[in-house]
Amino acid sequence: MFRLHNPFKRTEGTSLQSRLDKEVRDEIKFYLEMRANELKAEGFSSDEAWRLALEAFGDPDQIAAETKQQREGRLSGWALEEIVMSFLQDLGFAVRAMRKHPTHTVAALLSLGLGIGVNVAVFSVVNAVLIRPLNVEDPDRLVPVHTSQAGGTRFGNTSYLDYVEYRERNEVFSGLVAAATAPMAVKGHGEARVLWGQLVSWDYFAVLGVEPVLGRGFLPQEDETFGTHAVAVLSFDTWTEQFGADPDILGRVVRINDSPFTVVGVAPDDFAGLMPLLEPALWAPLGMVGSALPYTPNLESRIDPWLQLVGRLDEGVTLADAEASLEVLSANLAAEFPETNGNKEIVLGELDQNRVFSPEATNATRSLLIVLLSIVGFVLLIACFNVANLQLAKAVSRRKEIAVRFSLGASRGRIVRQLLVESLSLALLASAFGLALAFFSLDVLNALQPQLEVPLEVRASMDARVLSFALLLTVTTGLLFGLAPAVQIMRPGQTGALKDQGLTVTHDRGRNRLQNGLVVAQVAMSVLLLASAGLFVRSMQNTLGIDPGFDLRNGAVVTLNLGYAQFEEAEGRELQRLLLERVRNIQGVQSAALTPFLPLGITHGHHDVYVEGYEPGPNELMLVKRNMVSSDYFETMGIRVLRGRAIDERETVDATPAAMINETMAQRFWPDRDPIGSTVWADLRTEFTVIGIVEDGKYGSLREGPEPYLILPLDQAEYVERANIVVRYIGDPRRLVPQLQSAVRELIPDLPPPTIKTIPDYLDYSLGDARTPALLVGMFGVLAFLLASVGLYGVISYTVNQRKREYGVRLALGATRLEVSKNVLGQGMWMTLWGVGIGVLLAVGASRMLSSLLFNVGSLDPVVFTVVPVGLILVGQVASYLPARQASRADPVVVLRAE
Amino acid sequence: MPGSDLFTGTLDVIVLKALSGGPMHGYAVGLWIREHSREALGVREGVLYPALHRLQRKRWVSARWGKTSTGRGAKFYSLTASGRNHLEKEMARLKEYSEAVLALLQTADR
Repeated sequence: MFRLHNPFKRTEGTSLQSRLDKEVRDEIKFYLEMRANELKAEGFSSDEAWRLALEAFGDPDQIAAETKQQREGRLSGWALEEIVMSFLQDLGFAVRAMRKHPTHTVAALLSLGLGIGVNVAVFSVVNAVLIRPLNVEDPDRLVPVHTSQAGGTRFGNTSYLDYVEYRERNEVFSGLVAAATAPMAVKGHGEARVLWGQLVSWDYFAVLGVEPVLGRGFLPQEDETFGTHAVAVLSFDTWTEQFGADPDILGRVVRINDSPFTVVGVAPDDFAGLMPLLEPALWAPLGMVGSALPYTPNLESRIDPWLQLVGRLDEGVTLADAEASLEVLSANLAAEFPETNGNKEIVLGELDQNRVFSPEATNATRSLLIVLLSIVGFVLLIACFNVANLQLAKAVSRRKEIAVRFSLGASRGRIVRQLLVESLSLALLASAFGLALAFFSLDVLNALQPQLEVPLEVRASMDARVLSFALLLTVTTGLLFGLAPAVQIMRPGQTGALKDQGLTVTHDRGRNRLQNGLVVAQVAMSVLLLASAGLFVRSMQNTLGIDPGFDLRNGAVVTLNLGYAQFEEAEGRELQRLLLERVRNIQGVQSAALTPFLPLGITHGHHDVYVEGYEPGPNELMLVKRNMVSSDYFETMGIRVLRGRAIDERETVDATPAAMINETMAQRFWPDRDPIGSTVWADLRTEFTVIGIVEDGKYGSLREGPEPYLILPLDQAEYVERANIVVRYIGDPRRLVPQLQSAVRELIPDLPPPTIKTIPDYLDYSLGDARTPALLVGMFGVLAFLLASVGLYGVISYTVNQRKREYGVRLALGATRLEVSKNVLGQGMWMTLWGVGIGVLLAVGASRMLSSLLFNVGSLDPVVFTVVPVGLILVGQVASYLPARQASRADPVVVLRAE
Repeated sequence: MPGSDLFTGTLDVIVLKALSGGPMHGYAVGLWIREHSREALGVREGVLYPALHRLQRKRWVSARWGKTSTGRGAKFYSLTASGRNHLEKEMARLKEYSEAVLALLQTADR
C-alpha cells in the first residue's frame, strides 16, 4: 500500500462543515493513493508517482472546495454562515490572485491609492470649510443681516449705532446678535499667543441656541456699559489646550491683549463660530471693545462698519416678510439721518454664504474647491482606467482558470462575483493607503493657505462624512475597474478557452476595443487636466507680470500690533518711534519706515474724503483707501514721487497737516486742476494740504484695478495700533530677521512675538492666491499625465506581447523590422490622436467654466493649446517606442516554436 | 442550467453511464472514464468529485461507505432509479442532437 501523504495545505474547515469536509477529503485522499499506486506499478518511484498523481488531479484544496460547493448547491436557501463562508472563500481567491501578480498589485495599489488619497484630502477641506454643520439650533431660521452702501459692497458690515437701531426697531427677529472677529493676544497658562477671538453681543449664545458645556453665556448687564464687565467664554479647544481642561476653570483669569478677563463659561466642542475658517479661541462681550480689540472702532459713528449681524426670524415670519419690514426700517433711518444713512440699505444674506467671511469670498472659495474636486476626480478616473486595463490584461491570462471553473458548473454570476470581490478588496487596500496619504497631505494643503497674521483654522479631519466619502469612492472605483474584466467574462464563448489554446492569429477584437477605448479616455482626460493646469499657470504668469508699484526686493517687514497689550496713544506712538529708530541703527539697513498698511497686504484702511472744489455726484461714494506713513517711506519702498515732495521729518504733530495722493486720485478729483496746494478733508474733518503725487500701486492684490489712494503723515493722522516696519537692507535678509526680533523684544517685552517676513517671503505670500491654484492644479495635472502615459505604455506593450507571433510571422514572410515598428507606433499614434482630439474639445469647454478663476487668459490660449497636445502626442510616441522596438526584434523562429 | 453547457452536461452523463454497470468508488469511476474517454476529465482528474457530489445532490446517485477488495474503506456510488431515468433521457437527447448536427454538416458539405 502506498505511503500516506497529506495532500491538503489548508487545515480542516470549521465544525460547521466538518462532516462534509472530512468526507470529501477522505475521498480525495483515497483517489490520490490509488492513482499513485497505479503509477508506481508502471515503474515510477514513490515520490515521482505521488507528484504525477497530484499534478493530474489538480489542486486538492480547490477541488475539495468546489466539491463541497456542488454538494451544497447554489446560494438559494443558504444559511448566513454559509454565505459568509463563501465570501471568505472569494476573499481567499482574491488574496491569492493578488499575490500571484505582485507587480500588478503594487502598480494598481499605487495608482488607486494616490487617486483616492488626493480625493479624500481635497474633500476633507471641502467638508471642513463648506459642509461641516455649524451646530447651532435651527440654522434655517438664522439670517445674516448686512448693511449695503450705494457704490460699496452689497454684503457690508454694520456700524455700532446702526446695529442698535436695527436691534431696537425691527419687528421680525426674536433676536439680533452682533459679532466682531479679530486677532487677539490670548494668554492662558503658557505664553501669550495671537489667536482669533470674537466680541459678541450678550445674547449671542442664547440666540444661536448654543449651550455652554461649563458655566454660562453672557448676561444682559455685561453688555450694558462699556469697559465694566471683563468676562470671557472660552472655546473648548482653548480650555483643553491652554488650561489643560481645568475643571475649576470658572472664575479663573484669561488675559486678552494683556488685560485680565474672568472666565464664565466654556463653549461646546462642536461649536466653532459661524465662520469655520476663523474659529474663535474665545468670546468677550461687545462692551469690552476698548481692551479686547487690537484696533479701536468708532462707537459714535454711523460710517464705521465693523460688526457682523445675524438675526433669528421670529415665529411665523417669512424671509419675504422680513425683507419688506427691514426695507421700511432702512427708509425711516435714511430720513432721520440723511447724511450717513441716505444711501444705505439693509440686505439679508444666507448663513452658508458667510462661511468664508463674505458671500463673495465664499463663492470664490466654493468655485475653486469645486474645480479642485473635479480635477482630483478625473485623476482618480484615470487611475481607475489604468487598473481596469491591468485587470483586463490579467483576465486574459486567467481565462483558462476561469474556463475550468465554468466547466465545473460555477455560474457566470458566481465568477463575476468573485472578480468583483477581488477588485473591491484591491480598492479597499488602496483606500487604506489613500487615507494615510490624505492624512499627511492635509499638512501640505494647510501650508498653501494665504498667510494672514493669524493662521486660518482648517479643521480638516477624518470625520464620519470624510470616511463615508472615502468608502463611497472605494466601492465606486472597485466596481468601475472590476466591471471591465467582469463584462469580458459575461460575454459568451468563454468556455471555448479550455479546449482551444488556439494557434490562431486573430485576437480578441472586442477586448482590444475596450482596452484601446480606456486608453483614449485616459489621454483625453489628461489633456483636459493638463490644459486646465496650463491655463492656471498662464493666469499666474500674467499676475506675476504685474508691477506692484514698488521696487523693494531685499529687506524685511515686521508686523506688530500694540493693541495686543494695553498702551495709551501717546505711549504707543512713542514706542513705535523708538522702535523705528532702533531698526534704522541696525548695520546694513539702508532705510526703514513705519506704516500700518502695506501694498499687497490683505487689510487696508478706508476713509471718506472731501475735496476742495469737487462737487460729488448724487450717491457718489467718497470712500478712498488711505494709509499713514513715516518719513523715508517712499524711499524705502521704492515708490516714485511724480510731482511735489514726499512726506518727511517736517510733518510733525504741530506742523501744517500735509497729504499725498496717487495718480488715480489726482485724475478723479482734480481732472483739470493742479492738486498740489489744494485742500482735502479726512480723518474726522482734519484739513490736509496736498504736497505730492505718487505713482499708482497695487494695494490689496495684484489683480485689482487702479484705485484712488490717500497718504497721510503718521504723526498727523489718527493713531493706529497696528504697525509695519519696512526695512531696505543690503545682504541676506534672513540674517536681519533675528536682529529685528530682538529689537522688538528688548523694547516691548510684553508683546507676543511679532510676525517677521523677509521681502521675498512677503511677496511670495502676497501672491499666494495666484500661485496656490496653479500649483495644485499643476501638480494634479502632472499626476494624471504620468498615470495616462503609464497606461498607454502598458496597453501597447501588452498588445505587442499578444501579437508577438503575428509579428514573427510577418517578419518571416519578409516584412522589414521598420515596417513592424511602424505598425506598432501607428497603433499608439491613433490612440493618442483620438485622445488628444477629444481632450482638446473637453478642455475648451472646461476653460469657459474656469474663466472666473483665471486672470487675463483667453479660453483658447494659444500657448496652452499648442504645448499640451503636441507634448502628449510626443509622449504617446515615446510610450509606443519601446514596445515597437521589442516587436521589431521578435525572432520568427523562437516565436513560432514557443507555441 | 442543464444543457446550456455541453461540457458540464457531458461529464455528468458519462459518470452516470459509468455507474450504470453497478456500484463503484470514485477512483474506479475515474479509471473507467480514463479508459473510455481521456478527454472527458479535461486538465484535472479531480473534476470528477464535484460532478459526483452534484449528482448526489440531485439524487441521481446515492452513496454509502464500504470496503474495497484490499480491505480499505471507500465511498461507493450507485445509480438511483431517477438517475437511470435521467441517463436514458440524456442519452436519447444527445443522440438526437448529434444526429441533427451531423445531418446538417453533411448537407452543408454537398
